[in-house]
Amino acid sequence: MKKTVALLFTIMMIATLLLSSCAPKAAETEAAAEEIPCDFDEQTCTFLEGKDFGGRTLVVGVWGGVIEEIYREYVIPEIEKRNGKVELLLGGTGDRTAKIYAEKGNPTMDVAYLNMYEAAKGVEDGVLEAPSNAVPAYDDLYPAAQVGGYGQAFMGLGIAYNPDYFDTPPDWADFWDPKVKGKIATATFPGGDSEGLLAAAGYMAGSDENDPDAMFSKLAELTPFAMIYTSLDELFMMMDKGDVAIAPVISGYAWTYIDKGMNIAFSWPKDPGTIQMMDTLTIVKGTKNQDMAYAWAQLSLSPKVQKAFAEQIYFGPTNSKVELEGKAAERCVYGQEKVDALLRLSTYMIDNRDSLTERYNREILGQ
Amino acid sequence: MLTKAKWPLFVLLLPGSLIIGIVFLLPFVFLIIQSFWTYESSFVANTTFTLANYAKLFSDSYYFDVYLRTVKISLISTAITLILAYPLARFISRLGTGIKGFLLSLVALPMIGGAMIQTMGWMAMMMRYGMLNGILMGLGIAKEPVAFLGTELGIIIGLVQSFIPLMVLPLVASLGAIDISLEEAAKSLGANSARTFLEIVLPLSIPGAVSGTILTLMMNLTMFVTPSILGQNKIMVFGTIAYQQAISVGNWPFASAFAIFFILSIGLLALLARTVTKALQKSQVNNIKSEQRINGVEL
Repeated sequence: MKKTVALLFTIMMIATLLLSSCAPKAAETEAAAEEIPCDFDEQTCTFLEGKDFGGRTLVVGVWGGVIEEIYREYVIPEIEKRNGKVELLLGGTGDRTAKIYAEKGNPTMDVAYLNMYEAAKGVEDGVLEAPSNAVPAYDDLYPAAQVGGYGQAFMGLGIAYNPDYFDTPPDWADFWDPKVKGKIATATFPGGDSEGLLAAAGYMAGSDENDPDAMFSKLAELTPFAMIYTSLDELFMMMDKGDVAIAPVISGYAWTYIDKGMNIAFSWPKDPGTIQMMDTLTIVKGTKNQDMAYAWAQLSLSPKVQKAFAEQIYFGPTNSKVELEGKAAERCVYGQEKVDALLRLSTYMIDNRDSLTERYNREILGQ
Repeated sequence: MLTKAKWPLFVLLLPGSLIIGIVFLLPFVFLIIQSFWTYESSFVANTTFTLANYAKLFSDSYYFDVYLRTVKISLISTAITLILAYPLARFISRLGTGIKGFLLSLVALPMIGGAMIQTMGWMAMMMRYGMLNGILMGLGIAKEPVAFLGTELGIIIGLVQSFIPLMVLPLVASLGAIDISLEEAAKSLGANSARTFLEIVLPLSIPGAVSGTILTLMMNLTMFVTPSILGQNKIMVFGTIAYQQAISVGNWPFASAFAIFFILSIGLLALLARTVTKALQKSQVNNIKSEQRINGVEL
């Protein structure tokens, strides 16, 4: 008798377990019934439909300031609505790149924003995923934004200047005008801005960015620099006062200060051109949250988020579906024509950062 | 074998030793190993054994110049810190317990914010049109704005301010421990204030000054935030070169070799400082003893 009761009890337990595992859970039923509102484009909404990230945390390495604010306003709530969490690691691309390589095969960061050269090298070195239409917005990116990682924002390295020194917007050659000698600023090396000026020096010497001797001898003519800037606030304050006449600055960064009424202006150089810069979204190879990373990328590249970047900080949209007007259209690298006009440097700089940095320390900084 | 009495001590030491072993010694061993690897490209190295990183370090005068500059800036900053901290410590050490505690907390207060916040504050003050230049020009001391940022002067000012607490705290402990009756005895025997200070207070405060000096010197030698922000990466020192090589350039093997060389040389410097100080203290003690003998004979 006892055995029969025990057997019946066991059968009932198994049946209960089976039934409970087959039946939808209360929370799931609620989630299914409660459709998450989506006010993004159709492609993004379709991609996000039915996603549930099961309480996992996505780690994203990105810059702080307005960029962080835009992600907190537009992207993070969308992940949270789908039962996911986001941790932002704020900092520069150097810190992120070092972390990605150090954690190769076992990453703790899932998504990282890098510059286009670092991103392409990371894919080549097998620490980053190559971009693909696993993120549907990939197909809508301009071809120039499909290289390396997922291009997030087009920018150009142009020239910020004090208009008291120039009657017409200056070009790269004007850095060598004797009237601005000792009043030139540049950024720390290595880095996009300072590498861009070094490349421009190569062109001004009649060569290009693959010729270190030409680049360094021409750039050395500009030394000593009035300042090596680490802060745009300080750079533009000195430019406003006239202590700095001219500096290589990435488009987008100068406009905020111009709008404050400071005595500065921005020029898009033509000879040999405005140098292409691109913030690039990358997905770290081996991420345990690939689905979340794709969702993040889709949101980040969506027209809505790209438009916010363009209108708030003049970051040129890489998604061809984005439509801009007014000030944003005028100040951003926007549209195929403007994108095509940018000068894309070779990978020489990133491939030779080691030796170029040594020469820069020695020959340009004199340190 | 551990004796029964030593077991509790061993158990108590174990967690700390494990933490030090895992978070310090293991990475340090890895640093040594990595310094013999071969650099391929930015952030990529292979494990082929090479001495090239050390060869580059010793054959290229550039890195030796960086080393000398680091030591020079550190020594100057430490000396100024000691000179500024000593009177402050002497003043605080004479005060009653309550007010002494309050003032010591005030001295240590900037350390709570960390080096970054203090340095950012200095950056705002040292800008061409910042507060410091405003004061100098307002008082007619300078006609044009003085360049503080991007100069060794700017770095030294930042370092001195950052590490004054490290110098003041051991000095206060050392000066506070001097028996006041010793000074009174010296004065009652006819010594003036200067002689009392030079022959009684100063020798007895040497242990505090040494601790403060070594602490401050070590912090100065390994500075990174101050030279990179106030030096604007124009003034390259050990910390900025190590960061540049490890994070911006991604040449980890060379950055490791550079770090190993620097750590060893700092160790040697510390050892040297300790030996010199011990010799100084010994000679002071001998002087006092010999003076006592002379005085004894005279009496």
